[in-house]
Amino acid sequence: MTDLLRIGSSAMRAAYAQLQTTGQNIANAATPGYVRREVILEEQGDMGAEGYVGRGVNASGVRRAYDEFLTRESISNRSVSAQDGARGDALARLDRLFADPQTGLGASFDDVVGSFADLTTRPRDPATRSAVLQRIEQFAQRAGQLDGRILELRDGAQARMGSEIAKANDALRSLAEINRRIQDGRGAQAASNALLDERDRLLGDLNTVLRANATIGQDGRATVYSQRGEALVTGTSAVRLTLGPTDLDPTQLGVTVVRGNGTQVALQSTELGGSLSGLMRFATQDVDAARMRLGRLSAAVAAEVNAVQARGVDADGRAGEPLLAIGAARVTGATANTGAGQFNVQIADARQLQASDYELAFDGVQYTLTRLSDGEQRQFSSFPQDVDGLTLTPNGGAPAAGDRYLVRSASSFAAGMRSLQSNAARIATALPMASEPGPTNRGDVRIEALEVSSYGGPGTPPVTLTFTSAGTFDVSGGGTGNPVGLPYTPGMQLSYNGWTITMQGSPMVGDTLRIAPTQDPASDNRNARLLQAIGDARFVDGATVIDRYAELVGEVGSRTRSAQSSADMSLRLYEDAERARNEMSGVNLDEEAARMLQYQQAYQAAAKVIATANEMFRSLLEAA
Amino acid sequence: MRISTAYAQQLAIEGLQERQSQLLRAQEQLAGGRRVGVPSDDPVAAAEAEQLRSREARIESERRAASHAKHLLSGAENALSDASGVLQAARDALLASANGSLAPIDRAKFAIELRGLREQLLSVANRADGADGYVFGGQSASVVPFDASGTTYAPVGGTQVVGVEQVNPVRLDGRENFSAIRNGTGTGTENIFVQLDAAIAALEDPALPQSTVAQTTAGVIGSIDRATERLAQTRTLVGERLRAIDMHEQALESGSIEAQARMSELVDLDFTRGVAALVQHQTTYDAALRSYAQIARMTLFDYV
Repeated sequence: MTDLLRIGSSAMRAAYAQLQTTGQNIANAATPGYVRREVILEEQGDMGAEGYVGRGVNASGVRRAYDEFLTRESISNRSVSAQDGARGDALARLDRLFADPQTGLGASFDDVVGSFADLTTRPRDPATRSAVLQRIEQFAQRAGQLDGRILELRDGAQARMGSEIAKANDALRSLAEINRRIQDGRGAQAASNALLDERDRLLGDLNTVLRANATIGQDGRATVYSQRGEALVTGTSAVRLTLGPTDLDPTQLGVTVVRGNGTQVALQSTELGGSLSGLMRFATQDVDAARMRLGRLSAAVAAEVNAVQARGVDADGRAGEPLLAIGAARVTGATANTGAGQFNVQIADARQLQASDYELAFDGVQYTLTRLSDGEQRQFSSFPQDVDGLTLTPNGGAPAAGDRYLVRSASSFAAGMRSLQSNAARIATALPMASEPGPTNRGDVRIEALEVSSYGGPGTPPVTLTFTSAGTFDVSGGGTGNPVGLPYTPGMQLSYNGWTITMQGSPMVGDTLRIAPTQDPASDNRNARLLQAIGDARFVDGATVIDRYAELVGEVGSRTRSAQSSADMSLRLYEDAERARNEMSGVNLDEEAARMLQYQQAYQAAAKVIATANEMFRSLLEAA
Repeated sequence: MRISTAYAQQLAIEGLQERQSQLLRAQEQLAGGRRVGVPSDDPVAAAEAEQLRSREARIESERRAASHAKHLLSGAENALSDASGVLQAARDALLASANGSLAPIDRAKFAIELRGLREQLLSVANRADGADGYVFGGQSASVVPFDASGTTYAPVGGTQVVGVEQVNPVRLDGRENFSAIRNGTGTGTENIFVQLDAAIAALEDPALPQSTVAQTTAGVIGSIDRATERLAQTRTLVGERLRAIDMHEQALESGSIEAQARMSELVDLDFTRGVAALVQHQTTYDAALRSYAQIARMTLFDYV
């Protein structure tokens, strides 16, 4: 009779444990990282007097409904999704900077060109001239502002890297703490299950920041490794991750692992994974690609406007002064450099500039210059060195082998862009020299082209060519020495006083040509026409400004689009993996409700067994 | 297959949010009328739209230059016509003065008339163009072309031009129209003001015999005819240029319409599609909400 009582009470205990577990499952249905629990039942076997009957049931433990493969799959997909998502979100902000074509830098440039066009129709009008300066100033401001906005986005990404690192450090510390508790405790089975849940949750959190794997040792402790095998948690100690300026470029932040013994290891973006990788890639590659293009565009426009301006003369007859300034390119040494070498960089030809900065490395004998946009390298051992429209020169000191430098070219130009002139009279609408055929000419000899290489000012002496026959001419005027009988051929060139003319046509005896300083430079529109021509000239590495700006817009758009579709895809993959994991480990409330009924019935049945045993016992007593 | 209740709830909520954001986006597109809001919506279209925007800006500049040239050349056409009218009056006066029976006192009356006509001609030659310059200002603009004698032409000869796709002159060369007209023999040039002055001097000189005066006026009439011919030629050129500008303006207009149409194709929303998309998103969001509300309510605990 006691056998039956024991069986009944073991069944009651088992059912009660199951009801408790179900309660726990229901209670934690929404707890992050909670893994559904199941009671492990074992039959208690024993041989009775009538042979094998058994002695009831034993709830031997509580098991987590856990599948290692599914959990790993979910965690690794979560990491990829965090990486793509972080970059996609950041790029979406960059994308928005280029949203409205009507207020973009391209439109601002076209406003400048439009004001040059108006200048050709009214070169003398002060309002028209002022409008040109205003447009130029707006263009310069917009370029600088756009660069500033992009930098703000980089700052934002770097700030987020900081908070992500803090999150990762918390997770690493907690993982080490769990190892300690596992080592110390050997606590109750349930507590251990809770620790395992917590560990998986922490690994998941860690993986949103950076990709990490855990291997579980014999003693139950986890060792956590980064993607590249750097141990992050070993036993009860965790490394610390720090965010700091990179060696070559202090404006960029890199992730460093600080080990327990104090040694430090830098982790590259590709070695990280997780949101850190996505944010770093945005902060370096994506931001740089946009800024470098913007910088090159700014430098090319400034150089071209200033060059045309320099070839002309302003309203007061003075040689045209520059209208635009850009930020100066410079070379900075890496913080780890041991030598004292310094270098200068200057623009030699803005038309050849590439949308990139450069790394200069010295190996003790040779220099290697790497273009950062595409990794193209060139080696040399002497200076000055011309590359991509830049000239590199030493600026004192000697570099040591292994020293590295950053040539900040394209990244510097847009930020410092500004307009230089506030006096509208300084716009050089005129060309310095003008030519005219004699009023009594009978032939069609004419001056096709008049180039001025050095302008001597309004006092430059006028020069007259007088044709003495169809094939000869005399020259008279200051600075010419008045030669006579020079042979004439159509298309020939002639230079005096800093100018060069190209003549065409057939002269008749007595025809003259006159070259003199422009007498009314305020009203001359010839150089204004050359300024206007900047609008469609292919001077930005072989393309027009608008072509290059459209390329920049398209490039930002494609980057964003492809990053967002990667993010969408990896999110789907993560969701699939997470769903699969949840199918195994998640709590279904309807299932728990059904189980609750089942266990309740089992409990009642067990109670009935005890009641039956009790009744039987009483019957026996009454019979006695 | 087990459905995790919490995860299913989360997915359902995420799904609802996604549908809601799609609905909002469709609404934004309809409200803004634009399909491409940010470059990533369609990077290729965004890049091309930038070039089309620029093309429109260029067309607008070119159109302003053409309109400027048209305005100035119309003024030039009037000036040329006025100058021809003055020359015709001078010719009539000279013909009348050539009457053999005129006394010196009568000749002097014609001289006075001619003097007035000469002044008129000079003022036409020096007419301002209303754009900081002079109709016959040559390459320069701000210098009064002729002095009182009509023999000194101050500007640089030639013409100022504007426009990129079509280059149009906006000022005429005063020399070839007044002060350096090819003469009768074709080997030199003559100045219409000097010629008129000669006729005036002859008419004013009572000592000159009528035959000498007639000889002079006959010569001057020849000069006036050549000058009139010259002005007529210039007028033809200006007229042709004005017609060319009209055609260019039409071409610019259609270029602009084309660019706008293409731009619209690229970035604007097709409203029929936009509305259809909105309705579709509305329906799916509504269905999602309803089904969620019904399914989420279902639980076994209601029956236990």
